[in-house]
Amino acid sequence: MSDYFLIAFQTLVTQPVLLLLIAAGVTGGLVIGSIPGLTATMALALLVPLSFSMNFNAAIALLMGVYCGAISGSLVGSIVLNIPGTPSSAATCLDGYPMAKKGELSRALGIGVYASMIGGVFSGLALILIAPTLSKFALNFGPWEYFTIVIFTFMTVASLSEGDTIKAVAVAMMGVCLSMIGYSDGAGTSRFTFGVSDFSGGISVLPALIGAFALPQLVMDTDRIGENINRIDDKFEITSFMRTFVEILSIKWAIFRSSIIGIAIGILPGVGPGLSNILSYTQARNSSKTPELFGKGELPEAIASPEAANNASMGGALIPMLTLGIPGDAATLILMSALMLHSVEPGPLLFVTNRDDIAFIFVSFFVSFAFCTVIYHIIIKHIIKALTVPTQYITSIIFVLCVIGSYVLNNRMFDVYTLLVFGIIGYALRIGKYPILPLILGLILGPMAEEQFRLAMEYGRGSYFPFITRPISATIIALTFISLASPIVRNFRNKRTRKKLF
Amino acid sequence: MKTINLLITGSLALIIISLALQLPDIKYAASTSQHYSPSVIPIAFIAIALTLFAIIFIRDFLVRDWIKTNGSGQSVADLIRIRRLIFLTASVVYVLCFSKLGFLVSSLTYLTATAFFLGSGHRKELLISFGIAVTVTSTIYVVVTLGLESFLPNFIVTGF
Repeated sequence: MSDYFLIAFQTLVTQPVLLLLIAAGVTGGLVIGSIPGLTATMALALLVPLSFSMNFNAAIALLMGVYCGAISGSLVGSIVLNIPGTPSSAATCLDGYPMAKKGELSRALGIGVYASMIGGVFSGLALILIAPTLSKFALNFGPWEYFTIVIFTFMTVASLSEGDTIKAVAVAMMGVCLSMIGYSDGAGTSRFTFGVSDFSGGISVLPALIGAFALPQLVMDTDRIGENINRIDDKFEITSFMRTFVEILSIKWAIFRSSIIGIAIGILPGVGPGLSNILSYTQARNSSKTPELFGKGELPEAIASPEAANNASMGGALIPMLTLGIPGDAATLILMSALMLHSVEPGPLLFVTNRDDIAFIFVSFFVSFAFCTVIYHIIIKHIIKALTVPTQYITSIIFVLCVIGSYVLNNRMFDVYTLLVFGIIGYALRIGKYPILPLILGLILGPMAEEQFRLAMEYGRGSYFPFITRPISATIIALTFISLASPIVRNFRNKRTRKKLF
Repeated sequence: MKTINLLITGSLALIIISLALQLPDIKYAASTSQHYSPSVIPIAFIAIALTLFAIIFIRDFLVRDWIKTNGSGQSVADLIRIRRLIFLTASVVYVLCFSKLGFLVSSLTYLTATAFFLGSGHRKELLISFGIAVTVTSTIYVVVTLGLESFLPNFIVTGF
């Protein structure tokens, strides 16, 4: 594998266009990620259709740059405006904004940026060490294991989703039902087409994904138009910003611990950087000798811990996506769509048949973080200015880009209508407090579930017993029941605690 | 608002019901396996989805204790915020007119009108919105047609 890394690195270095694409992706990602309401998911969703005409290396270089930039950029909104650029920096607001308000804007930004970069490097190392090992293990998987792991993914996402588990599972099942629209290889016929020929090809995942995530977010963002934003007016100083690197080294164990939390959370399907950000902040406060100083902008670890964790979860989220074809969060879901668009199927065989592509992904990940660190120093002043762009311009421009992105995929209006319909469904789900991620997971994993079940029945000659008698499959089924039981147990404990208090 | 949530849950269930009604019309290929019926997975997932939506309906709208402790979601006031309605309506009209009016005309109109009506509504802002719309639309057109060598719909007078 090390030979492939060298070849991938050589490819990057000898083709300056690829380096330029990474730089462009990082710059775009930093700007988009810092603007509140524009998430990393949206940044990726806008660019994936445009990467269709690029070759694999160019597309990965651009998308990795955007992925790293957008997650890293979200801390600027948290510190300057007290509004996180993406959910992955929600906990950064708690100490980042108070520190900036005290006249230490450059220090707050520096702590966040350097901690993010270190977290990202740790997650890259975890990706390189864990992913190949996990893929070797996954080569033992048969269709029984793949089917049960899809069900496990749905249940884990549902139990870890914000709010209601039943609603999350219902939406995931709805996604699976919608994925069955169109021609089925196993059935040898078209299904659920309502007599409309356009449905024969099924629902395009990318426009559905863009619509379901982007349109509801943009509609909600219009609420902030005309709001008085508590913008920090403190001047940014590059020397104070760079001096914080020494301060970061004094809290290296807090950053290391947060990175481990981030990697572990990132591996769990459907969770992502948002939870790792909050969990690591809570953990840092609980293990601090001065927890009363958290929330006051006094302690560097209160900013460094959540930022290290959210970047560390990026590499963690790539592990199940690359090795099993199960996306770790919404952003990796889009990256997975990009890979499939370029005829690269994520899964354990990827590490056997496409070692050069895997090595390129890993190398691009590291190079993106290196570029992120450098580019941050150059453009951070301008990013702070970009936060003043009125929201009414941003929302409408983003929607136009979404429509164009959907149209250029196949040059047909059906995909644009898919974007609109799923956008309206996504908005309805937000209003009704249903989570959106399970819907898209169901749409993507539904065909895999059906195909693997069919193969399991064929190989098992119609018997269901192999699902329980095969040890890996049985273990996954047991884990599924545990993940389903955990919110019930949690609710029961909360009710008992409430009863004791009253 | 209870009605809004009822409407949303009902609409989602209706989508599944409309798929379920299509089940008898599916004619599977003659050479299906003796070990596997292709209708198993569709029937199973549709049944699970409908059962879960039925549980949600019973729990959210009929079980009084649940409603008391968990509230009723967003209010009507949240739903009909003017800016949200403007943006959503404009976006729907934009998509419907996208192929008929062509990319340039529809996008220019959408960007100008949406930014103007969502903003303060001053005449000066109309000019700014139009200027931004021209810049963005022309940039996208150049990038997509020349950079990506793809196509965008044009305004066809006779087709409209």
